[in-house]
Order: sequence, then structure tokens, then C-alpha cells
Amino acid sequence: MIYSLYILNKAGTLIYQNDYGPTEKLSHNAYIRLGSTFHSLHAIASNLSPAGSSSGIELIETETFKLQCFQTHTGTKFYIIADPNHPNLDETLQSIYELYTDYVLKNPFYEIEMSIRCDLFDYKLQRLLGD
Amino acid sequence: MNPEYDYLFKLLLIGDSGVGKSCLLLRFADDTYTESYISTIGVDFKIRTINLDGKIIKLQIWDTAGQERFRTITSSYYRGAHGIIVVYDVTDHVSFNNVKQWMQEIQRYACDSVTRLLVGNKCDLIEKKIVDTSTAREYADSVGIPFLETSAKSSANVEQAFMIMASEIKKLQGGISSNNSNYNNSVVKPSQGQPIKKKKSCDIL
Repeated sequence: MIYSLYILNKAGTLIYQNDYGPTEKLSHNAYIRLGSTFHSLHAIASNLSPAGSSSGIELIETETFKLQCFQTHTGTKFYIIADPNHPNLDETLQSIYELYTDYVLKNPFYEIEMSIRCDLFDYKLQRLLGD
Repeated sequence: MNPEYDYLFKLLLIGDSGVGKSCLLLRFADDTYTESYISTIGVDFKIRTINLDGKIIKLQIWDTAGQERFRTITSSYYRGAHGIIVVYDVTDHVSFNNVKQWMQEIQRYACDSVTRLLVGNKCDLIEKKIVDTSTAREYADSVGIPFLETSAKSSANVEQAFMIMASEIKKLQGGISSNNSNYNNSVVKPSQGQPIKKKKSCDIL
């Protein structure tokens, strides 16, 4: 089960968030704050690396969920929150990235680095992540 | 997800420790004020939604820690900021002298196109004021950025400071999207093409 997906632009601003499992709905500002807080943690994590620079947080595991993050070369971050037993989150993130390149980046009306409002992207994600 | 806003702008507050960055933000976002001083750890965020020329704009303001020991983290927040507000304390000459260094940080870490604003805070403390308005204005003019004196305590000019910032950024951004929304009316004529000017861009890596 995938609970939610967050996409942050390279500046750490939330550009997409959606829930796919039963989770408590928060205000939109709360999601923006959560997203940017993750961005900060990610930046701190890469600074902590004892051996040169690190790519930052890839996986956070807890008793009730796990969070997996994928960062593109240009610094866009995708992270999903899922059931702790969910297999192959790597593959799921890869598929989400492909949907992003096809239905967001190739949409001529999408303003890069701004909030994503693309119906087809919503629809394809729902098919991929919804039950 | 269908956010009910047209733009989300990232603003950054920087300046020496204790000049009142967090208080300015608290005044602008929550309209409150506190005398107690709590040092910001790393970064804090506040969000306020404003309406500007019929567009709904969310300002996400990143309030950075002024203390030197957080500097390695705070520098990573400059990236992609639409606007940066440099704050000094009008009763503290050192904080004004350090503005130059903060400007250098901006040059080093932020985009060239970033909108900047200089703010002298605590202007309600008239008898303790050391930094002349004219000195600060001269400096701001010399680097070509707008300048305001504010007071988070009396809320003087706080609203204006953020509004100036928002409208300056919107002017830059609006150019792009107004072309976008008028796409039905515009006709592309290949014969009227012009050579592309080389633009300075952000360093990504």
C-alpha cells in the first residue's frame, strides 16, 4: 500500500502531493511545510557524510511506514510514504519519474519549478498507485 | 491535487543573529509579536497567502538561523529562492556592516535573477538608533535594491516589505505566465524571429 507521494523542486518547494491510501488529510500549508522540512533534513544528511558528499536520505524506516526518496540529477526529489512491507519502492519511484517526464515535462503549459497541475499525470498516477 | 493558488514563491530571510528575522516573519504571517528571544535552529517556515492583481500567491518564507554555526546548512537554502530579504538591526552597527557579507553570500549561492530587499528592523527604538536611514539608503541605492525600515514590534512597514517583494517577483514571473495564458491570441510568425541573446543562467552543479 502506498500512502502518499510528494514531489519537491530543486529549491525544496513542494510542487505536488497526493494521498493514495487512508491517511489523515492535512491543510495544504501543512504539506508544504512537511515537504520543505524533508528537504532540509535531506540537506543536513548529505552534510553529515563522513566520506565526501553524499546524495542525502534515500530511505527512512519506521514501525508503521517507510519513506523512500529518489533524487534526479537536476535535484528534483520524489518521495513516497508506504507500508513498511511494500516491496520494490525503487521500481515504483522509477515509474513515477517516467510519468513525470512524459506527462508533466512534455506538457507545454507546465511552468517548470511551479506546482504541477496536469490532469493526465493525476490520472496515470492514480492508475499506478491507487488500488 | 488541485492547489487553489497561482504561484508559490520561495522567500528567504537572512541577516545577523538577533536582528529580528523571526519576529518580522511572525508579524507578517501570524500578526503576533513576542519580546522573548529564541534562536532559530536551522530553518523555519511560514506561509501566507496574498492576493496580488487578481492572482493568488502563496509566499513560503524560509526563516534562516543567523548564527554562524548553522551557516553550512543555511547556504543550501539560497538555491531557487525567488526573493531574499537581508535584515539588519538599526540599533546595532555591526549587523549593518555585515550586510555586505550577506550580499556576498547571495552572490555565491543564489540565482543571478533573485529579487533582493534591504530591511532595517527595530525602527521603533528611536533613541537607540545608530544606523542612519540615509547611510542605509545610500548603500541600498549603490547596489540597486529597494530599502525599508521596519518594526516587527509596532508592525510598521512589515506588510509593505513583503508586498514589495511579492510584486517585484511577480513582475519577473508574470511575464512568463501571461504569455502562457494568452496562447490562444498569439500567432507565431517564423519570419519575425530574432537571434537568441545569450543569458547568464544559474549554476546547477
